[in-house]
Amino acid sequence: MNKNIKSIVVLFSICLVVAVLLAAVNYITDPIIKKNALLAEQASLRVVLEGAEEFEELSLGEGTPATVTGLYKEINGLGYVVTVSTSSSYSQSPMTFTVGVTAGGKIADIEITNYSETKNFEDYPDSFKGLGGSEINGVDVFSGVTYSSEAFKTALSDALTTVEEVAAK
Amino acid sequence: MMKVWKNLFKGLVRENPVLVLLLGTCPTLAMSQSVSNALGMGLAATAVLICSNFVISLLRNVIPDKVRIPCYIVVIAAFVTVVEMLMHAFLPSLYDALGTFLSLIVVNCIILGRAEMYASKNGVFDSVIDAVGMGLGFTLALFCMATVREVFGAGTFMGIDVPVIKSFTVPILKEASGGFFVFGVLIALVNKLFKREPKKEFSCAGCPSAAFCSLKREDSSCEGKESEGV
Repeated sequence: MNKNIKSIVVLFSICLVVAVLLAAVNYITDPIIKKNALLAEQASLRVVLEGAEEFEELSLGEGTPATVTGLYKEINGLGYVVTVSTSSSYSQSPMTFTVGVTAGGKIADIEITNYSETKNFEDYPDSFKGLGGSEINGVDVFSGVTYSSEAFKTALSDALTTVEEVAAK
Repeated sequence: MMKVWKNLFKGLVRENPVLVLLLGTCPTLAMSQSVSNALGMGLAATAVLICSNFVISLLRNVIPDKVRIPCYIVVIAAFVTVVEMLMHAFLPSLYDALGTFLSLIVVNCIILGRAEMYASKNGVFDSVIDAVGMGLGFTLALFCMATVREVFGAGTFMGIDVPVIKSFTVPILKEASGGFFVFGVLIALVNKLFKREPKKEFSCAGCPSAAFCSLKREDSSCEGKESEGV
């Protein structure tokens, strides 16, 4: 009986000391990890909006399309960056991308962050550069990648609509 | 002093955990595609090994035999988590490169093996020296494997192009099958160079269960089935 109690006490004490140690290390490293994640996120946003310095995240209001996953405003008023994920009905692994929109409502650049289909898009997203929300439908789908092209165009249109609504407020 | 050096160097070659004891094969194969990742993995495992051997040796008279394995695992997991958090904060690129294999150091046989076989039976100083030797042995084995795989598989060394070889690479060396091939060649090379006699390693005395085995014999033979194949 005594041996069992000793075993329990020793194991519990080791776990307790370990928990305190991990809490202390987490206290030191957590702010640095969060800061690194923020810097990495900001860097990924800067890729699609040339000249951008820093972004502030805007909250997504009610009625925002489900395809829009994040909205960021450049603090100097250069424009917006929207993170987008295609509809879940399109594929089990939705395509995700980041789109930069200038203050004038035109697409500055698009960076695909996840695309798992076998046939590649190639430079299809580049054909939307410089276009506004109403001009997206004028671009043809990419031959052989019709479903992905349609899903991409719908999500892109959602992103621009969201930016227009926020800019109008 | 001689004993300290012997203890330190045995892990490097004579009892190299990867190439002689064949422990830690999974991270060795997975992390030997590039030299920088291999060094990162080796040094991370070495840090965990030193800390865990130190603590387990320190507590060897306190930890009851019945709960020794859970205690070792808690201690090892704690140090792995500490290394993981520090690496995530200060070396994020290496953290991303090591991925899930960093967390899997917890179940690395080398660390639990040294805790059970050495640190739980020896003093703190000897255990730390053993950990340094074994950790460096693991790192050395990873470094050798990664050098062969990266230089001849990708034509680079730590990401820097190697002239001439870059144009005549053997891409299969970067794949899993190439990893097994290099691993086998290195084991054969170590066996040949240091004239190891495998039978002795598989004798009763070399068996991890020797302390508890009722069939244990004092000479080099073994009554267990293990002796039949060697």
